[in-house]
Amino acid sequence: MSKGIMNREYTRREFMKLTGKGMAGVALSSSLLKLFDCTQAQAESGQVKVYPNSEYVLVVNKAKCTGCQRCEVNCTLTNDGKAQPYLSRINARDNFQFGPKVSENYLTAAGFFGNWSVEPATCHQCENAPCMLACPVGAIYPDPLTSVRLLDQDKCIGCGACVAACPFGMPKIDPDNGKSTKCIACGACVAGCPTSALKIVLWDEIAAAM
Amino acid sequence: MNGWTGKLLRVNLTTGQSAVESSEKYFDYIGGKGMANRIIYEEVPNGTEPTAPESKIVMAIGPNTGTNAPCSGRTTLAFLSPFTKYNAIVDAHVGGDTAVMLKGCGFDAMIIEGVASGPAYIKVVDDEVSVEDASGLWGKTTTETTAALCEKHGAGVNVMSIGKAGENLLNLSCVISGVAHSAGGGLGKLFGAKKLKAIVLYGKKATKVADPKRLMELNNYIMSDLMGANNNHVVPTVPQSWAQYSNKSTRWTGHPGLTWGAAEGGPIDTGESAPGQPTLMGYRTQKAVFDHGPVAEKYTVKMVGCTSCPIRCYGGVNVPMLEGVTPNTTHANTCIGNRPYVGLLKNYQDVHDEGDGKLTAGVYSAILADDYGLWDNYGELNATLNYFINNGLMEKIMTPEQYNEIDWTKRDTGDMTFIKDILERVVDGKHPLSTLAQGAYYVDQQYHDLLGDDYLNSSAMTLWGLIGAKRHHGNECAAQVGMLTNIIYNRDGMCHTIVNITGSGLPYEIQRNIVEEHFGEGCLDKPRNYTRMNEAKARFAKFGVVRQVLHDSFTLCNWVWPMTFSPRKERGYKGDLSAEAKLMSAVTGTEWTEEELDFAAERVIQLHRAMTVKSVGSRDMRNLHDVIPEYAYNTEPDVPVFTEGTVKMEKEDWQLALGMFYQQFGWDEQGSPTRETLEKFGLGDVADDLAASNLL
Repeated sequence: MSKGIMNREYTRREFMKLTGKGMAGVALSSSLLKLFDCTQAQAESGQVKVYPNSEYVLVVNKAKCTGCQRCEVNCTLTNDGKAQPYLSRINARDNFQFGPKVSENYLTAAGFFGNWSVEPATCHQCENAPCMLACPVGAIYPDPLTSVRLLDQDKCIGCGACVAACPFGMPKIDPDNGKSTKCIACGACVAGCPTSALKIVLWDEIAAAM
Repeated sequence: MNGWTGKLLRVNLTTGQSAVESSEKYFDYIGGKGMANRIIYEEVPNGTEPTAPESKIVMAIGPNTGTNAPCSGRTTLAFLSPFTKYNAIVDAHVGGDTAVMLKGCGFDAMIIEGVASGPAYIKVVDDEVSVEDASGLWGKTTTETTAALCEKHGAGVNVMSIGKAGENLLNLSCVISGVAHSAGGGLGKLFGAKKLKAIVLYGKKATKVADPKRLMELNNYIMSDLMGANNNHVVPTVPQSWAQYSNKSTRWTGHPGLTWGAAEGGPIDTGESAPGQPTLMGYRTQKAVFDHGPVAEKYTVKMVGCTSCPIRCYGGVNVPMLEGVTPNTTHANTCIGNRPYVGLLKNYQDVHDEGDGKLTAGVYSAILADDYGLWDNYGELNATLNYFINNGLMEKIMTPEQYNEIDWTKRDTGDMTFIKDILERVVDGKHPLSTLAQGAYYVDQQYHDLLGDDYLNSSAMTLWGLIGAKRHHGNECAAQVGMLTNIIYNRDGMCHTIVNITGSGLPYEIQRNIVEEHFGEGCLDKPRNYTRMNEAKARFAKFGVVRQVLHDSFTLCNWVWPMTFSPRKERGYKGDLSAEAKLMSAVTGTEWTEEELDFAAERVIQLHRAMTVKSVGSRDMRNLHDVIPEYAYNTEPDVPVFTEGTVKMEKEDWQLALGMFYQQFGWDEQGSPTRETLEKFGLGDVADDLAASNLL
């Protein structure tokens, strides 16, 4: 293992200790706030969500998300060669109106019908990834350099075990080719966000800011 | 198949049955408006009452819809107008999530026919299509309906629904999609007549594209090099470090120091987003401030808008002053939709800051109108209500009891509940005030003895035409050019091709030099300093509507497209008018030129014009359809026509303008398509049809 990867892993563990179960209530340094392009108030009020993986932290700022869903189609154009939001590895379409489900107080809850807060759901790149553990043919595997959970399309048999195992409902089976759409952290969603509500921050940058 | 799905869905509300058919025979009409117009032409006999069981509604999208091309989330619905003279073909255009969901269900179009036996809604989830009972939803607001159907079928389904206005068969009623996306033109009445309360859509299928890499490169090129802000305004309102120009009137309002002031977790600065920064362009248009004024900044939560659009033109606000007054305090809309009936009040009651009373009343009226599914007809309903109030006519159309029920003093004191007092009677369907929501033509028909010839011709109404259609960027925008873009339609024109140019913020000389390269010398007059009609103006006007129809068919948003200009100084501010053809080529895999795509769009216009001729029942479109009101000739009475300081028209010149415009399209002197022209566009069957009716 190279020194760079060791440093990255150290930073990641320190960051995870800091953010623990989320960003709400976490005091961030001004350098980290600048890096995440958010305010302390946004972090404290739960508007900022972080998805750390071995390569980077995906920062999702709900206050900035305008629900345009460009992230979804950029994802599938890049990874699947077609426009198909349903297969997207990031999902705003199912929660931008009311949040994940319509609540009794929907006029003040999340979503366009409430307080406008939109939280795109995406892959957590879990450390002990249930999708990876569930895959019967080892098609989901950690990148040897970054540990991002990748997908070997040739091995994938489209059995749906990853779909059933994911607690966040992210992977789908593409009906056209029968393969899983497990997120491989390519960053296409971030590149297409017109309000920078999605942001990738590298561990090296975080190390410098922590 | 790339771009198109190749399928259309037919739903019969009388039988509750549905069928899937091929859509390929309509590809010559591109999609969207073109496809929907052709289906109406083939399936709805001329002279059908818009609300008759034989009348149909066609909603359609195009090959570009759902591809993530910027601003490609638009749907067109075609049907017979219930509110303008001749009940000819009209389109409603709606954004939100509808277009992408219909594409995801695997259909290029949906034909809705028949009449349900009781309140019903159509549910389409991929291939599963059903007509469901909506008895429990009838009478509910559009918000309540959407929430109920999302609770039942999933929080992410798209719901289009009508409110009381459609249920009670008002001509000026609309269908609301999601939050505040409105399909107007009287569509709500057609839904109501069919007992159709709502449509639920949720699609999981793909839009296949021939060259995804080329498409993504094009999207990036368009967003980095061509797009500015809302209406493709390419100059910011205040000086910015990268910008050569600034112009206070544009919609590029975002700048350092201006925020989304009520964003969760504190204000978000809109900052600078120079050309080449597509990941910041959603901050360029602070539309709440543009629409409501500076006071709206601190109430702005964020901008929202349609699926796939990076511009974000809906100003989302949270107005605490509405606590306890309306069911919710948040709303988002754009342009006139943000304040549709605020003009009913003479004054406003500020609470905290100067101007917040008008903001509150505007949002209040927008919430009410959308929940009722009441269509403002680009301000016509508000103008009609005020016309009747200001001319002492309300007392004449109501009984004394009905008149005295309303506290008219609220109008003077600025009590915004006056708006509700009026609107709840308008949407009632039986109250005399409901008769004012028929559209100006039918209002005039009913009350002509009271109104004489003044109402339709009044500058207080600013119609484009005596058929009862509102002016929507007419002679106040590039003189004859703007007005000509309206006459194609049987409702307000909604053509933004020209106004996006004149409103771009670039100095006049730069605008003129760029468009003259395309259309010839003299095509663009100075603002409020007009010259007589010329051929270049006719070419420019034709371009305006051809691109509008292309966008409504492809689909793209004509509120932003085409890319005539660019915000980039290094491009000489020149945009790229071949961008649509490049998208078409990348999506379908067949190479299209700009000229070929314009030709296909013009085919749609030729068909639309022929359909309108049939509805009018005469070739004399010049004197029966394309007639503008007197105010257009009389405005600014102290300033002579064709001198600086007026937008007025001249009668002889307007007739010249019509003739030149007709020539551009290959129409005769009366404004009717000839056989030669129709056959040139492959519309020989339409020519035969006109001939059989003695209209050729």
